[in-house]
Amino acid sequence: MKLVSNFWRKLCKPSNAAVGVVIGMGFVGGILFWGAFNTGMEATNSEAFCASCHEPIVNEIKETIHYSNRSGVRAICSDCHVPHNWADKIVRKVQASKEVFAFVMGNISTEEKFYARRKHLALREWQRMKENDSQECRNCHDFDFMDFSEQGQRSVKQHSTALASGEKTCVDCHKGIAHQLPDMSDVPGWQ
Amino acid sequence: MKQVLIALLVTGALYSLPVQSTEVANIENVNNGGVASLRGITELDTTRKADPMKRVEKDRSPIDRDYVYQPPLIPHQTRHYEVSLNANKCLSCHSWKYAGEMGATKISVTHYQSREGQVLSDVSPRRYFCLQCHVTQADAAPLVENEFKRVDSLR
Amino acid sequence: MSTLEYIIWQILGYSAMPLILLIGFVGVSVFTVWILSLTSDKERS
Ligand code: HEC
Ligand code: HEC
Ligand code: HEC
Ligand code: HEC
Ligand code: HEC
Ligand code: HEC
Repeated sequence: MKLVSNFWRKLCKPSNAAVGVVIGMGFVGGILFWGAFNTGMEATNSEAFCASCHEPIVNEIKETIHYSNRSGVRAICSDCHVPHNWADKIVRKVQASKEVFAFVMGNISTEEKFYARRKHLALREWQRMKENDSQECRNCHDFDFMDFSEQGQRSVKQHSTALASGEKTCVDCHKGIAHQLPDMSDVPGWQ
Repeated sequence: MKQVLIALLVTGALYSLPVQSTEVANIENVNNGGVASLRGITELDTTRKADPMKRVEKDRSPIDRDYVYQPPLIPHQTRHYEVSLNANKCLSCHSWKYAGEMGATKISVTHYQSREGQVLSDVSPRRYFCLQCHVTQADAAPLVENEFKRVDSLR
Repeated sequence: MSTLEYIIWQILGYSAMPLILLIGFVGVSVFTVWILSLTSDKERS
């Protein structure tokens, strides 16, 4: 308590140091703080970080198009699961407190538990992407710049109709693009 | 005395081991006898450099069939199409329910028949793993000459 | 996600932003005041 009131007293009275020094320290402190904050955000976006809790997923993603492909461009976990927009990103990070809680409860602590719970998690993720019109996919795949003459016939047929009209969004058709699927027997579009 | 004998025998055996193994390697059994196989003309103990992987045809129109009960070849790539206990990606386009919407060929009724010829209400378990019978195509030269001729009705 | 859940997370998320900035400010000021108290603002009593 004494420390706090001491600190408060110091904050309230002028310093003996030159104004330039005080402002300079504030400025440098601000930069350092923002740097540290961003580093933290970046570190908690890395695949290694996600892997610490989602081991089975990181293993199975290696054979998919977003891990190994001809152009060497990768999508990592956060590209698809964490919004780009700053405000939404913070909201998602705060939301991750739920994941930490679920981790402590051991919801998916073993592979068996994970596979049993996978359907539930996948449904939530599809719902989320449906609500934001697959914004994460569109960060990289912009419909406006899709060249239909370069795409396969099957792609063109679907993209120029159901996608172009906005009737469906990416995850409606591209489920399991980066992961193995849970039991799909009652999911629309599957049997 | 006995111990010395045993020790001698053991050392003798140990020395003869490498001799024996070099003997095996010296036998001239790696010669291919000048016969070219699918591996090319290589000695049996050398490994030929692998050919580059062939690329699967990405997407094209259906490929003509060569005989009547042939499982049609797959005219598109199938990378990462999951067919497992949980999901069957092929059926999300080829099943009767979705074929129209996705513009894909319906699987024929034989895919619903059990071994006894009984028509089931859903895809028969023996037709569930599509890639057992249907295969993708790569643009590759045939390894050996093929004289197969189509039946008259398909020629 | 239900609407209620969505609203709760939005509120929590958006209130976290000023909180982060505030914590940053407090952190920097504690450090600055401490450095200053070691140098030019030494208590002379
Ligand atoms: C502290 C361990 C932990 C870390 C680190 C972690 N997760 Fe999770 N995550 C979990 C747990 C536990 C669940 C299951 C939540 C539940 O059971 O409700 C989960 C669920 C999910 C889900 C399912 C969707 C949902 O709404 O619950 C996604 C997507 C996800 N995590 C993505 C990520 C990504 C991307 C990262 C890396 C940036 C990451 N996680 C890092 C523990 C973690
Ligand atoms: C190309 C985009 C993409 C990438 C990259 C990606 N995911 Fe996903 N993820 C999805 C989609 C889409 C779903 C919804 C379920 C589905 O379709 O498989 C999902 C679902 C999940 C789920 C819910 C459970 C499940 O398996 O369905 C978790 C957990 C998850 N992802 C974690 C991760 C982690 C960890 C990584 C990084 C190794 C990662 N994801 C990389 C798109 C992606
Ligand atoms: C980080 C950017 C990025 C994100 C985010 C991303 N992708 Fe991709 N995706 C790529 C790249 C790059 C390729 C092409 C790789 C190649 O062919 O060399 C690709 C390829 C694909 C393909 C082609 C697959 C094939 O077999 O040819 C599909 C389908 C696809 N992505 C769907 C999605 C969906 C759905 C999402 C959202 C859940 C998504 N992507 C998110 C970068 C991304
Ligand atoms: C109505 C269903 C549908 C929707 C919606 C849809 N796709 Fe596709 N997409 C397909 C089909 C079918 C293919 C071709 C088969 C395959 O690769 O699985 C395809 C192929 C692709 C490919 C590979 C193209 C090629 O031929 O090389 C990419 C990349 C892709 N989709 C991205 C997306 C993205 C990004 C979105 C959302 C903006 C999206 N798709 C929405 C059905 C759809
Ligand atoms: C995105 C939807 C889609 C998926 C997934 C898909 N196909 Fe197809 N398939 C098509 C379309 C479209 C055609 C071409 C139909 C045409 O042009 O007449 C086709 C054609 C075929 C044909 C040739 C039919 C004929 O009469 O010659 C076979 C065989 C086939 N697919 C098998 C498969 C198998 C096996 C899988 C799973 C590994 C699969 N397909 C997954 C859409 C799909
Ligand atoms: C046991 C082998 C076998 C398996 C497994 C199998 N098929 Fe077939 N399929 C055939 C044969 C043989 C034909 C051609 C005769 C016929 O139409 O019944 C055929 C025909 C087809 C046709 C063309 C039908 C038409 O009317 O022209 C499609 C499309 C097809 N199969 C898709 C699939 C899909 C998708 C799967 C997986 C769910 C699958 N097949 C599994 C043997 C198989």
